[in-house]
Formats: sequence, C-alpha cells, structure tokens
Amino acid sequence: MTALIHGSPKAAGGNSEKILQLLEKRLTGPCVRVDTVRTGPETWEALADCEAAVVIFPLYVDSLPSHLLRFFMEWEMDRREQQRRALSLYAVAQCGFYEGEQNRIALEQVSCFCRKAGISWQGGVGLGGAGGFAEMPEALLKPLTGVISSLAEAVNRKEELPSLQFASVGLPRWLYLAAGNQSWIRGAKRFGLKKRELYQKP
Amino acid sequence: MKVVLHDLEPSRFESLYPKLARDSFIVGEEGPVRNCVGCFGCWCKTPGKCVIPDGYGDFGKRLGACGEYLILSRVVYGGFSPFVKNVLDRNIGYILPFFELRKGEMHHKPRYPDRFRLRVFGYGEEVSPEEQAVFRRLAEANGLNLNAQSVTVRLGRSPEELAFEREGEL
Repeated sequence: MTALIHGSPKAAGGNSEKILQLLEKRLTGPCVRVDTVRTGPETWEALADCEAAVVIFPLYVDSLPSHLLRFFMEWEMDRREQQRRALSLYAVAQCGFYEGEQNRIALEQVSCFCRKAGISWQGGVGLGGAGGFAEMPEALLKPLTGVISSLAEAVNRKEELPSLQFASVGLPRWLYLAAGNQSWIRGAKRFGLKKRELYQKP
Repeated sequence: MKVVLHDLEPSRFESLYPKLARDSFIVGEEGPVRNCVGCFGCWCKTPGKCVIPDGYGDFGKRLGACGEYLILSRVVYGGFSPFVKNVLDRNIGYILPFFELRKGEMHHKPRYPDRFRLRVFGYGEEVSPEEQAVFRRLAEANGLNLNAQSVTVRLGRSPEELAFEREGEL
C-alpha cells in the first residue's frame, strides 16, 4: 500500500490536490489518501500499514507549511513510540514561483525529517510555475507532468529517485511572470478591489 | 524599533532578554494560532493583513517600520519551529503579491519602502550538521524573499547559549 499524503491546508481544489490526482493515476498499486490537517489515531494506523508514501505539499515562505511541520512531528513521535515498520518516503513540493529549484530547501527539510523518524528518504521533485495547474492548457504543463511520471515510475518500481528533480511550466519566465501579475488583479476584482488598492500599507 | 518573533515561554523570554522585551515589538505564543489556509486574502481581500482575526497575521506594518527583525526559533527539521513558521506563513501580506526578478529568480515585490536587517537565531540540542546547513540556507532564502537588507544566522544548543543580548550585540 502507498500513502498519498495531501500536504496542503486547502480543503479541496488546490494545486497539491491536482498533482496528487495526476500521480494517483500513474501508480499501479493500491493507494490510500492521508490528510494532514485533520489527524487522529487512524492517520498513524493508516500510515503504519504502508510500505511507501508520497507527500505532496505547497511551498510556504521557502519551506514546509507550519501544519505539515506539526504533522511530521506527530508522525515521528508515533513511529518512535510504536516502533513502526520500515517505510519509504518520496516528496513533491510545488510553488507559484517559476523556478522549481526554489523548492529545494523544503525537500531537504523532508530529508531531515526522514532521518529523525527512521524513514528511508527516496528523493523528491520540485515543481515551479504550479499556478499553471489552475489555468494552463495541458501542453504547457508537460514538463511538470513529465517529472510526476518519473516519480510514479520510481514509486512503482520501489526505487529511489537518482537525485532531486526540478521542473517548470513550458512558458518563458517573463511571460509566466506577467500572467501571474495579471492573475492577482483578477483575484482582487473578485473582492471588489482595484489594482492600486492591492498596494495598501495597513 | 525591533520586531522579535520567538517560540519561548513568554516569562523565559523576558528573563533572558529583558532589554528586548522592554523596547521591541514582541511576537510570542500568547494564545492559539491558526494555520494559514492559502486563501491569499492577505493579498487580494484585505491587502497587507491576514483575514484570520487572531492577532497573529497583522504585523506587516511593524515589519515595514523596523530596522531589525529578529527570529529566535528551535530548529525543527532544518527549519523553524511550528509556532514561528505559523506566524511567518500568516504574515506574507508584508510583501506584495506581484512578482519581480531578483538575483535571477522570481520573488514578490516589496510593499514597504524600508528594508529591515534579518537576524535569525536557531537553537536545539540535537541539531545535525545537515539541519544546520539547511537552516542557514533557509534564513538566506527568507532574507531574499522578504527583501531584507542583510541576513545573519547564529546557531546554539539553547537560547541561554545564544544569549545575544548579554553579549552586547543589540
């Protein structure tokens, strides 16, 4: 059994969930989904039944979101107290910045967690331009879905990823940046705010 | 004016750092803090402030007016402790949603014209060399993302060992 750990605090519809679904489609074995916001004894029991897990999460301020830190700390404690069996962990970090490389530190944090929790770190992928999952046609997402496929193959073969892998959307950076800036103006409109009002200094 | 974000018991912080506690804007764990839910309300709905009214998501203005921003945190998996990270996550309204290129990477534009010096202090008994290296890189990355004027990092086994106030560093 492979656990797919949804590491976003968003209930549904976020980029991490979309990535989780893309990965799930590519995995050949049975999977179980694990939530990181609402946890309980059943969370740790579900994880204890798995031989592999993939955690998919958004980058928050260059690192792991705080709720995921708490989740990892509880998971580490459970593994120590219950002397859980061997487990392999992979990770997908995604961010709205263009450069997938900006996820490197967060993936290194997952590696640090694995060492403390006695989990075998199998490597991870860092996806940049993940804002594209909401709006871009499939063709432009190909570089991202490509590394998700590589990750799925590694999980299916029970292999370690050769190294951290990074990817971004199939758009030049200047264009992604301009599109991103426009998306904030559209976002503000939904709340009845104009572009200049986003610059307020409260 | 300094802003200090820390994860110590408030009374322990006051006894270790009396001068800071007296003269600075202190953010410590005085009550429950809610998670950032990634709604981007702090950028698009109430620009500059988090929409969750628990008192932990609205100190962007203080950061915009401070000369130094000090973060004192236990090192957890090469990063900050959950409380400190929670407050950082809840205060991205300090910067603007709009992007620009800095040092060859995409980052957020600053909201406030003045830039603080970021000083990060990490402590912990069992912090591995790997975690120390990740922590240093994280502080540098935060400095770049928050558009800090400069970044310094110090690590020690305990807040007492760091004791940066007694050493006359402030």
